[in-house]
Amino acid sequence: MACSNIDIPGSRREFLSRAGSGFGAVALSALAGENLLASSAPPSPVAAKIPHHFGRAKNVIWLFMEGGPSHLDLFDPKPLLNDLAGQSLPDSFERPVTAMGEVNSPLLPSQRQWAQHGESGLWISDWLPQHSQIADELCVIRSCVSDGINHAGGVCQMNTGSVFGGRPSLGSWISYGLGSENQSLPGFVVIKDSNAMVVNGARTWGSGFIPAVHQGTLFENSSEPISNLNNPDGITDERQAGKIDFLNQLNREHHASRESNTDLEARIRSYELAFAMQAEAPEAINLDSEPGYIKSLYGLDQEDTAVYGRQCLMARRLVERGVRFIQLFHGAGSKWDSHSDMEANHSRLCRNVDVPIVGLIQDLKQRGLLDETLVIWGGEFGRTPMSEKGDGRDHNPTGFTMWMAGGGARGGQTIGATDELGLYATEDKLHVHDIHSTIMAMLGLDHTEVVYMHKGRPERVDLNEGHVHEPIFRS
Amino acid sequence: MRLTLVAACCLTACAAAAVERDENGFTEDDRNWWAIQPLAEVGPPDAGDGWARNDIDRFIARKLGENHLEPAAAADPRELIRRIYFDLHGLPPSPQDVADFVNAFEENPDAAVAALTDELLDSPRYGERWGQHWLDVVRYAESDGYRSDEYRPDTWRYRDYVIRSFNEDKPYDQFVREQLAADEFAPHDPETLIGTAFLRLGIYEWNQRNARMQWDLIMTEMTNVTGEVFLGLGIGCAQCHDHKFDPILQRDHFALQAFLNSTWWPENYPLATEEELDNYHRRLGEWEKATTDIRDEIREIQTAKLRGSEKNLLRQFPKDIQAVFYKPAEQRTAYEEQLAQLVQRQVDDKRQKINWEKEFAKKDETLANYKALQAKLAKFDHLKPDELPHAFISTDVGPHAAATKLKTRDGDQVVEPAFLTLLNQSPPDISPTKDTTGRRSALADWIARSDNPLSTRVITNRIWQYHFGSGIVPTSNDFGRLGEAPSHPELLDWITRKFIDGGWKMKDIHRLIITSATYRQTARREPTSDESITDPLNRLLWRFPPRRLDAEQIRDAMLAISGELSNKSDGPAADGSAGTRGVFMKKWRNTRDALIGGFDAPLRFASAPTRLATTSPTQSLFLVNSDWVIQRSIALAKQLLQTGDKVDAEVITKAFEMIYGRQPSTHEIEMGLGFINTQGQLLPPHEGTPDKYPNETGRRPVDQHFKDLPGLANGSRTLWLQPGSRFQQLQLNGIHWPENAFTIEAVARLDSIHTDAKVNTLLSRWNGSHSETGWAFGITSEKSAYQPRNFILQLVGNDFQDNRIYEVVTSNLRLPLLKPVYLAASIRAVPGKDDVTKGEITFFLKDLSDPDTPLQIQTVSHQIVGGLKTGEDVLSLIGGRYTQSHLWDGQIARLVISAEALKPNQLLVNGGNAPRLIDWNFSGPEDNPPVANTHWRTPPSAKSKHPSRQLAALTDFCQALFNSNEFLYLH
Repeated sequence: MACSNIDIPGSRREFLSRAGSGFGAVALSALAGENLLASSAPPSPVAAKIPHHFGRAKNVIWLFMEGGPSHLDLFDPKPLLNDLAGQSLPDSFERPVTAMGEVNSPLLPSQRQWAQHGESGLWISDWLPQHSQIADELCVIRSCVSDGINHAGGVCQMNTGSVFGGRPSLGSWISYGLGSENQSLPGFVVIKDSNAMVVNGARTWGSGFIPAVHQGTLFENSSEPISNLNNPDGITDERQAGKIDFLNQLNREHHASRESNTDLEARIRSYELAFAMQAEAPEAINLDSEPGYIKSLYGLDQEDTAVYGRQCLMARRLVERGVRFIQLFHGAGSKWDSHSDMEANHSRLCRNVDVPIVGLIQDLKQRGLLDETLVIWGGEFGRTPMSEKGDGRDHNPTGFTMWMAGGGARGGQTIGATDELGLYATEDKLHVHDIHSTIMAMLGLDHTEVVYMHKGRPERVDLNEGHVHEPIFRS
Repeated sequence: MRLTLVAACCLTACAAAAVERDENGFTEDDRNWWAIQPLAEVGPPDAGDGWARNDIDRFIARKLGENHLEPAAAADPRELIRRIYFDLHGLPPSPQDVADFVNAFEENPDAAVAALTDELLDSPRYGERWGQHWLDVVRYAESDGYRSDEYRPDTWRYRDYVIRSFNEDKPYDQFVREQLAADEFAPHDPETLIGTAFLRLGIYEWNQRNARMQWDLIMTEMTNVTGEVFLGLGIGCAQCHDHKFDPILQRDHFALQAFLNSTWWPENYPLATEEELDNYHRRLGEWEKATTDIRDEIREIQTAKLRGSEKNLLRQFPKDIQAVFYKPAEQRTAYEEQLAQLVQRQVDDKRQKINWEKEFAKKDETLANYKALQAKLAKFDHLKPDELPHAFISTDVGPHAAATKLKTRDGDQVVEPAFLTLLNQSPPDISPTKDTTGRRSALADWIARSDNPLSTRVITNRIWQYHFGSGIVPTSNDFGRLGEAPSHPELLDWITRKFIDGGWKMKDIHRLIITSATYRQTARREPTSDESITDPLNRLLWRFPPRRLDAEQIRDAMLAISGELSNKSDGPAADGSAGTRGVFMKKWRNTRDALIGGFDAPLRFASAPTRLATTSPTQSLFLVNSDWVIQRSIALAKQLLQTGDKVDAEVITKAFEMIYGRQPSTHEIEMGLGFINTQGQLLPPHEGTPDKYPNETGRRPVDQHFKDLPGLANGSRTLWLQPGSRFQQLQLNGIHWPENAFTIEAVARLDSIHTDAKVNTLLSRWNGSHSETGWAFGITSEKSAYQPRNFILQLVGNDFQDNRIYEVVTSNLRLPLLKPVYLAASIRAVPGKDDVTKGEITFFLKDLSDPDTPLQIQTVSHQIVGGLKTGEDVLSLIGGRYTQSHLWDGQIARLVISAEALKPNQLLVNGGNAPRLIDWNFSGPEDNPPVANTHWRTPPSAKSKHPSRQLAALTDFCQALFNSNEFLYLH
């Protein structure tokens, strides 16, 4: 349906939910029964903004496989690796610095069966059997490069562009650049698959030095998805409403003689938004109303796939509600990290995500949402061809695979290549900065124009180093 | 790699116009850069007659006049005292303070303001507030900032040093020298030496194998932060190339780095005077002498393992680093010594983690020998001196400098310490000391020189900024061309001159500013249309700039008003739940306090010269719904109702005075009473039970009862369950519970058992009904049919004929009270291999207070072989059952659930490994839920007490005032 950011809404509901802050505000004050401020409210910092150019993608769902999935066993087959199994890395290869230092350990063959899938003949291993159904949607990038040799640096850079903490995450930059289409939900939502914490904690989706309103909000899988969302225990809605009415009265009287101070207005409005959020957030992730066949499409009926299936289905519901950027962590706390016994580790984790991811892509497609939703898959790095502890692989940031689907990504193609053993990216190397810049381009943003002045300096998502790789989305 | 770190500044280069450049590439414009010009010799202009109260005002008046703007009227005493209190103390004035000031002000405004300023500057609260500003600027935090985010237990001494320095009004030039080089001129003065922590406050990854990269990053960070903090230079830009906008050469970056490059961060550095140190070493020598033989013997049996562990570890480092490490110390260069020390720390850490008893477990003889030697050694403990306090300080790696290399296309060039090329100053005079290179002293002396045009302006601009919200130069860390130009350059120079002439004392400048008419303007004046057009940002100060309170001010003010602010004024940091000021809270880099982080405190990864003041719905949710704010509101309401049970006009007035620092109007009193009345009618009569432990957090330090149990009690805190308090039950959410086969392991302590037959339940998923599936894991009580202190499981599931049954499975293992114990149950509610009608539970119990007690194991069969599947609506609770009874009185240090029935070798107590569904140690920050996705379950209100609706309504009233703009903004 939609082929650009200018599209015609199909219904009044859609119109209201997509029309951005102006109408959102109308709807909200209608809900509240009165308009708290007659004067024109200051524009919300997260109000939807007009992109720089036409991008097909409006939203992003980032499937983050934390810990580093093995590209050599999933999307980047290397026959030579099996031929040289048991030998050391040939001398012709430069020795990388590896996290665990087993640079000269024998090469570990891939035990996977490989096949080409779809009309495009994309290579996918038997660890992701269902992915054959979506092969023609995937744009597989085999030449990703990062500087992060360990999880802390890798996760930090993949999310913020720098291996060191303190910079805004990609989702924050996009919220800053594009705003959100739904003021009563955060524009950037993070959901993880267990109680374990993602490496580096909440700063992984932090907003660094740009305003905190752009930071990712962690949705817990519970009746209180956002912290402090619910009324405190034992406080009824009436009592809460009474308190807020009184607060509004105090604030209105205070504001009357200070109208030039737009911060005061913004804060009055933030209470409206908070309560809109209170109503909308739990509903957005409540899957009860989803029909059975949709639940099975995402694997909710299977124990192995139910957890990630729920996350994927919530992501689709959030996209429908105009949430700009959604990040779904799988294996929170570096579970994909497989320094030993990779067979057992990856078999289990691949089984967890195979059906849910395929279900998500298919569901987005059948709803006409895939065109405008960019789905990204990947970890903070890939894994080495060299073995570690006999049957595992170490971290490999010098060449690994990510894929994109939807949002204008040209499916059924492979971008770039690694060397014959999958250790270094050799063709069309895409550094994390390039990946971030390309994602922004697909959303219609010029990454050199989305600038935040910090300590007197113009800061960008790509630390001024990224280049857009157009073949990903242009034919 | 290196490029990506710092390239943030390297945006589009200016179009190079054809201008004349000298041999360094500098233009006339560069040489005229305002910030490097000597301070102008200016006197106050002839302006502002009739308004000006001191010379600051004359500079301000002239600019306003030139722009045809008028200053605002003077603030009334209530507005003024609130501003001055929040400014100098970060706290609100009490109603008495306000009343006293108003009286004094009516008599003589100038004298009243001067006296108040003096009084506040003399209070220790001043250093706590202004020290916080400095801590922002120097990126002060108490953890490493990488993945493991290790806590730095000794860093708080630097925080105390900063607060002390502000309170003492330490001259700023001295403050600079101490932070950059105290080790070179006062190595034995602990209170001064601690200043050098400044050099090591940045992030640090202790287990990084790439030691070269790590040290390179550390040095770059140290150089950049020094440039920003003291010189107002974004010198990081010049790391990779000559600065594109400012006249700073790449060489200048490395020349600055060369001053710092020999720095080293000693571990566990004893903080002591010379005398204390001598005494310590003398006593240590005695102990060493007495124990030489024993220690030699111990070392002998440890050597092989120690060598092996070192070798294994070193293999993981790059080859060249291994070579450096194995080089004899005397052959290493200073730089190699730094690298080797970085590696040494990792070696030492690995060694310390060796569990020798485990190591020798299979060698009976060695183990016995080792234990005997340890016992022997322990007999000499009385000779050992007490450990000296440790400090987090910096010094040099030695008297020989580590070379600073600038990589160029023509190879590496060694760069010597030098000042900015543009300043054209003579090279620094450097004299090494016995242990150090003397380089940092030379840098400090230069920064602290009264004719340094940058450092002197930078600090006075910062002082101005914290008073007015924005500096005369708004970009206070960047005086370069990417920063903004000064709004009042002559005023900046005049104040700076005054500051230097007065002996670099900040308090004098505070007095000067606060007593000025400029500062005493009201913020409560709306802009005229002229002002909105000419100067919408109010840089010319046509009124006092309105501001939102910052994070610490909000926290501290709520605690002060509710009467809960603790008087802690130094020492190790506290958790957020304690009633301390924000400045004394633990400052983790990866975990932020909800209030402090939510209201824009800096991340502490880099120098933060200013703070944002954002507005977001999550802030509002915090203020309205968080338990923290509600607790403050309750405390305040109780304080207000102390004398009676009726909210009247007097109570409303008192609340306004405490929260807003003013009296309410009649209309506001009516409004308040009206609210109390209508709100009260919404409340059930029994709400608002007073809390039993208002200042507690449901956590205890782990070493209170679970000392030295690293594999078991592996966190820093335990969960503290207290029946009858709000910490009696922790509800767990969002867990995908296993069915029929699972394992529960806990490290816990039971303080008392029930006097009746209730079960002391540690964990349950059960509504207590015998017909609905569930289970509970606990210990029997005094009157139990199964004898007291029996470790049991209660199950409701299906037998082999699919009938729903309830069964108590008893281990007959007796749990000791008041001792740390490990208890576990490996549960199989599935048909047994031998007998399909029977399931099995294996119980494990170990008294951890005595390492010699064996692990007791008991396998018990039972009738439940299926259906142990708990419904989604059944609550998962730590401590008691759904009915809020059968509570556990004591602590839990660790809770591990596995989604299968584990074998003994997979258990925690046996060092085993298995996929864990949850593994908690409750060490998270104390003001958050103990673990993500959990919350304390509200206990039922005690029916016997009937706290009034008035109190509850008053609580809501107080909370609304705490949420209101009049409280949150100084406007």
